[in-house]
Amino acid sequence: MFALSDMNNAYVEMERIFQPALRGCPVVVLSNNDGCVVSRSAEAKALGIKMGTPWFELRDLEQTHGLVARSSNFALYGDISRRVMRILAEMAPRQEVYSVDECFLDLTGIPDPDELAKQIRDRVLQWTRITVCVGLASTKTRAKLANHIAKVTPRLQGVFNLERLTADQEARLFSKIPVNKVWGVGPRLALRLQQLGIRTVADLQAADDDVIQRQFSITLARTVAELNGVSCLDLEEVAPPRKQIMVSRSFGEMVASEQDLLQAIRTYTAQAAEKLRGQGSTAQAVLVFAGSNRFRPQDRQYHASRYLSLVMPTQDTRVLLAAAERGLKDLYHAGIHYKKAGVLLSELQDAALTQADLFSAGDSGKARALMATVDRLNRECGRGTVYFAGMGRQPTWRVRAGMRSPPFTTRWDSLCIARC
Amino acid sequence: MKPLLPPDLMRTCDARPAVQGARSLHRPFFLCPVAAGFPNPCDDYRDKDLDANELLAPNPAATYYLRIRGHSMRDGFVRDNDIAVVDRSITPRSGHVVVATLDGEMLVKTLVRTPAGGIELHPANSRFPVIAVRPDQEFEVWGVVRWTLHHHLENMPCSP
Repeated sequence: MFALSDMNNAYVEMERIFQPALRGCPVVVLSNNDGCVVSRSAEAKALGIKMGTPWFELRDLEQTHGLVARSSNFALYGDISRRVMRILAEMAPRQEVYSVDECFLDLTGIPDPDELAKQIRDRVLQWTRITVCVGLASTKTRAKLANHIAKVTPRLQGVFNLERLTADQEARLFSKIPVNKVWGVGPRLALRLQQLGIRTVADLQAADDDVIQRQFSITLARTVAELNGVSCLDLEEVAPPRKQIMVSRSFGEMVASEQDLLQAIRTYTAQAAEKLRGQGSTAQAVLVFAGSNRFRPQDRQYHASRYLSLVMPTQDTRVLLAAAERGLKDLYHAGIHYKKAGVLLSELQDAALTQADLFSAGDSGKARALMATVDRLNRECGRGTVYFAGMGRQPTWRVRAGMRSPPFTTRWDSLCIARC
Repeated sequence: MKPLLPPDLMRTCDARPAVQGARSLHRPFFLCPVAAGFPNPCDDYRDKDLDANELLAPNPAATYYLRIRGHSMRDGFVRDNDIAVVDRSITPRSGHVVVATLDGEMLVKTLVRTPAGGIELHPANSRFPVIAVRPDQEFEVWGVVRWTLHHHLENMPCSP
């Protein structure tokens, strides 16, 4: 038996833990650079605010309806998420952390899964003030559906075991749920399925296996099997290492000078390199890109990228920086207002498997030791403690985040204040 | 002399004669460091280092640190600028020092359940009033204060 636990309105509810004044009023959390809505409170949903709405369109609601916005506070969200995942890990034999707010649990051997699901909900709420819904079923895909049903049906009180339904009850329920609610069926796939007359979950469940395999993919065929109670997907207890690592941001203020753009690219490269080392990989290619603002057609439009292959796979930030800089200098055009830039590390390999060649030895032992020290200092003393020359201290292109709450749980100087 | 260590941990090397014509001198070269003098008798009883986290946060997922501001709990040794170590997994009981939210504010007070079934928030300082929580107010016990951390080197004497 699988369980899928996910948080309701995760980012907003995490903001409310330490800011009680945000409870009961409409709150939204905005994406990087305060671009658009990525999390909404129940009150904000009731105002008709949709996911992805750009913030500038909602500004008036501050005055008229008391809407409060917060910039993304990833330090806080990461910490609260880790706490919740830790609580869940101790309540079930196996866990797969799926995203910042979702987690699968393997409940094999648990005598009363429904009771455990209720205990999970109660404990997470008490220990972190976060509400989760728990869906129980015989496969991961069905557990995701069960979770969705628990979420949209208030009388279920956040817990639903799909296997408690009779075949008839299940058929009736599934015929009322649109097919795009199935895990793995996105809007484009849903459209194609609808053209074949597959509109509901029940339709997909009953679909012909041959047709699905031939007209779509083996992945969708697996999904159909899972919907029918055949478990094809096991828990992934350890996330597979990423095959590409990208760091890119939109700029708070548009950037025109080569120096500023270089500073940004250097910073993104250093961050990407840190992630690279964190997953034990080397990279052998660097892609640098930059572009103007597509939503301002009155600006001169320019979008370019450069792909640089390295002689040897590396984890050394200095080598990656040199490549990224060469790429940026090559693609830079004066007279453009750049809105976004980024770096993508690819051709990743397990660092342990990297072999030296005759002409260059790859990362030396000294280089590896230096990188390990840099990472440790940045981890223990705070992000940005050690940075590479040319990354800049308080540059203007840093993301806009004027409405970010303090990192209450990760910095001693930002603790929540309790008055007495 | 019989070797003290098994042969695979030892190898011999030839010391270069300092004086021309002197006989060469073989000395055992130990591959592991050899502490001079007697072995440390304490090594057999080595325990682990004391870790304050075990004391302060036996349940880390439910433990949070908050900063205290104000003087109303002074007599309870909860002082301005102290850090409160709060554990949300403890069931709050009458008499516990708690963090509570009241109408959008985070407070630190002593929780008291009255015989009549009401809730009061008591200070620990005669200059401050008891707060009786009304049913129309937004109230929640946020967590129980397990420890307060008072830094003796940083704080000025408390104001009255």
